[in-house]
Amino acid sequence: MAITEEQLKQAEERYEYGFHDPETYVFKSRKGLTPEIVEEISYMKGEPDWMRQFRLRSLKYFEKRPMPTWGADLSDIDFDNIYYYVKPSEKAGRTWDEVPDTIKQTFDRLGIPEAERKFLAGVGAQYESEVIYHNLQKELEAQGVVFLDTDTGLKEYPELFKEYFGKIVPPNDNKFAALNSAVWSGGSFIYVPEGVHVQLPLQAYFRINAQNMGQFERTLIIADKGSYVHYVEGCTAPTYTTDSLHSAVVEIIVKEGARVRYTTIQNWSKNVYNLVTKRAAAYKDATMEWVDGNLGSKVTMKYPSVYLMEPGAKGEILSVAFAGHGQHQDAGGKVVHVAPHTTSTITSKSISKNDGRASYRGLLKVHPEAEHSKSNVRCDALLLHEESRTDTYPYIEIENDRVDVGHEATVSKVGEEQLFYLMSRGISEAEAYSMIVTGFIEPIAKELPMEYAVELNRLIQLEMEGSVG
Amino acid sequence: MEATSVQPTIRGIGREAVTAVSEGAGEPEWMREKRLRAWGVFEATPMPRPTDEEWRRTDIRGLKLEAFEVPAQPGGDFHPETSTDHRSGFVQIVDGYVVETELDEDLAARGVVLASLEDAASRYPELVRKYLGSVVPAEYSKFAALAEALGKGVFVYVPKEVQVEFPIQVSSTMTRGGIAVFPRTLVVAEPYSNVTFIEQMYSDDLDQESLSVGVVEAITGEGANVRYVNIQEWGHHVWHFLVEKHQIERDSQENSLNIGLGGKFAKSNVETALVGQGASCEMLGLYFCDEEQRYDYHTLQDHVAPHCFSDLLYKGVLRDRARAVFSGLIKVRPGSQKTDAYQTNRNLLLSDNARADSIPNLEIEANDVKCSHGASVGPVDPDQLFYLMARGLSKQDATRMIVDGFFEPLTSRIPLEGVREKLQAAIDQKME
Repeated sequence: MAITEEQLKQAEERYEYGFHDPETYVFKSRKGLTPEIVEEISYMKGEPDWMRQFRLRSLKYFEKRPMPTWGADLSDIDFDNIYYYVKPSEKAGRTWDEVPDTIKQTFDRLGIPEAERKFLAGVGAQYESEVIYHNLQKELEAQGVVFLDTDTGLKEYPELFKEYFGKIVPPNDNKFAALNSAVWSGGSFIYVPEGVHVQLPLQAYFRINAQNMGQFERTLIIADKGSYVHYVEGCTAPTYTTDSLHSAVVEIIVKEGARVRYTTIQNWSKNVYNLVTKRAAAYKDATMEWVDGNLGSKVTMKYPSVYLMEPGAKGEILSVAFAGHGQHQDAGGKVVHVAPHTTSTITSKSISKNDGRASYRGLLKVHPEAEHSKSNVRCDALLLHEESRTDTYPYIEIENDRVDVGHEATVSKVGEEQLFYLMSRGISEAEAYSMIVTGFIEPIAKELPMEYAVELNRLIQLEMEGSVG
Repeated sequence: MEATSVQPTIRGIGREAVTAVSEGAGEPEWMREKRLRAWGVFEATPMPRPTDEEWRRTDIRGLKLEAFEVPAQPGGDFHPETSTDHRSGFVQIVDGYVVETELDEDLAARGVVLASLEDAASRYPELVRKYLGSVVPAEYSKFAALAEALGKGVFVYVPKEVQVEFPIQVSSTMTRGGIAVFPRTLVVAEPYSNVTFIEQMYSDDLDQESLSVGVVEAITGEGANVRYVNIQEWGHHVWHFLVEKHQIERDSQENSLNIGLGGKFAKSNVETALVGQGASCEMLGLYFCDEEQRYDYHTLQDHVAPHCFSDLLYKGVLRDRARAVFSGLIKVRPGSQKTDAYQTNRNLLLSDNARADSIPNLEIEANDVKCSHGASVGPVDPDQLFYLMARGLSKQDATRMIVDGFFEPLTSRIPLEGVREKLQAAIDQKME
């Protein structure tokens, strides 16, 4: 099924978030990365000395670590050609009126303020390096829920940061975690007190606007005993001819009996390298759920992970990846069973279209002490075109004989019989394709809040247009 | 032995040993050059490091290549392979030297060749030059280069349309510790021929460490049928490295079975390249690791041509503090439509301290394919154990029965009854 240049061009142009604003910033660092730039970021943020030291130490780790030799091709990233810190406005607004007009218009176009009114308990919006808007419902604030941008979080809750920051993902964990630790800015800080259930989701929205921009947000979520929170993030960027880099670190602590769900709908434009480290530690009877949707970006390398630290802890990872023309989605998940009587499930669905490449890369590790653990991993891949590519790299490491683990995977193309069946009922080929794909990801889409499920299906339908013929 | 025309001085792994091995075998000039070129590749290739993806789970820092001696002659005192099975041919190898070769006269008359590789290089230079190193070049890995530089072994050639009725068996043993052997096997089955080949490596447990670095190349021609069985039962003192690669052509069929029981350490790369349309292969593996044994299997089902079928099943049992790694890959290259490929790895852990890593990978670059893979690691099913014990079996007997049942689909594939019985005995002994 050959596609024409014209169709490819149309596909590129269809990215509806590809617009950009003029760059009028309060501060924009020089390109490149030096200890001086790291010092400058820390100074502008007025951080405590221990954080400045942490950043400088992390920079050393970053410089020392080699580029990963596995996964996606990262050889085109030019670390010297990136702006590591761009400050769009003086402070974060509590109402949209306090946000500079051009930026507010951007988020209007992305539909954020409207969504906030309708179905969110709180919203954070990050533009380049800084969070420009933040708001949380008054009732939740009264119950002691904290939802701030991470920089403000550090100022207001230094003791929590000293205890947890950089503990789940240490700065030397990998090259990109080290990079984030050196230049992090923005992101969300959430604390949910004991027993509090946050009924509606909290959302953060990340937007890159400048060319050659590096966005390095840092998120820390602490769910205290018996609490519940659902955090949702979305990401977009303009389409430029040069590449941008997004390298986040997310750390989550799920205490006894608590439950955290973290949903990502990643729809970066196809010139963004998305290299993210996400990790959660779940304690006694706690539940951690990652719902990870990767649709955009040029290259994504992201494997949300759960460490099951105490008996009864449960981890669940749902991953859906859509790799279109020129994209490589290297996604998946990691579960480490540290304690006995822990359970985990990984479900991955990927779709490769045109010359897109979707890879599942997962780790399932069971420590010697983790007796009576159970885990199941399931990956399904759908290939739409002859030149599409899919890979599965499931690492399974078992150090205990009292466990029960299994891994299954299948690869298929859109079935001719399924197509025939639908088309014989008067549905066009393109529509039938789209229905089959929607059905394929349905088990994951149904886990999303309704609005996001609709959005995911809509994005996939957009991606599917022009894929037949 | 004629092979000992060189003075039996002690020599380690080095360039001198390469020349000495070649001179000792009275090989043609081109063969020596091939060895020396491979030695150059060996020297130029760094030792695998723990940071290399393929070696991340397997530590070979304890391997000291300079500690081994390349034997200048075979030891006289060895256990010969005795068998009452019907065989079409037999080769005995001792300390890397072929000491006995037998081949059915009728087959020899029809052009079948069973010879030491060194003899074959002189007698059938055009065949050996064409095929040796064509499937596993020295550049494959440091160990493949070493085996090409110092290798001695067996050449099997089955002409077009010749059916070899009974299996050909090669038995290789070591008589002392501290030595290094480099077994090389080249099997060429011309179009529409048929052959079964069993290769065994065995020795007692010895005090001093030994080394075996081998390469197997098997070429199955168009429409031919090859069955290959490799049984590794070295003593617990042996470091074992093996690169085994099968190349199968259009409409051919190939079955391989790799069995690992012995050695201190075993690293096996087992690959099949399906290069012609309609080729079909079955790759089976069985391993039983105990004590401190370390096994590392890397398998590859390389679908280069469309309309091919491959099915892999590796089953392992681990006990004591043993550790096994299975890392497999199904690779479907662009254009290999209508590929049908399956990969399964199952592990049974008999103790708390055993460890199994299973990494069944897929890389698929064609869309009209059927591929699936599965892996599992788990203990003996307590329900099965309970059922058997409720019928009066001791826990040990019940476990043994479950292990036998776990392996049975594989052991039943061994074409020689004598070999099958010995293998069963070896598995039972491991269960003691």
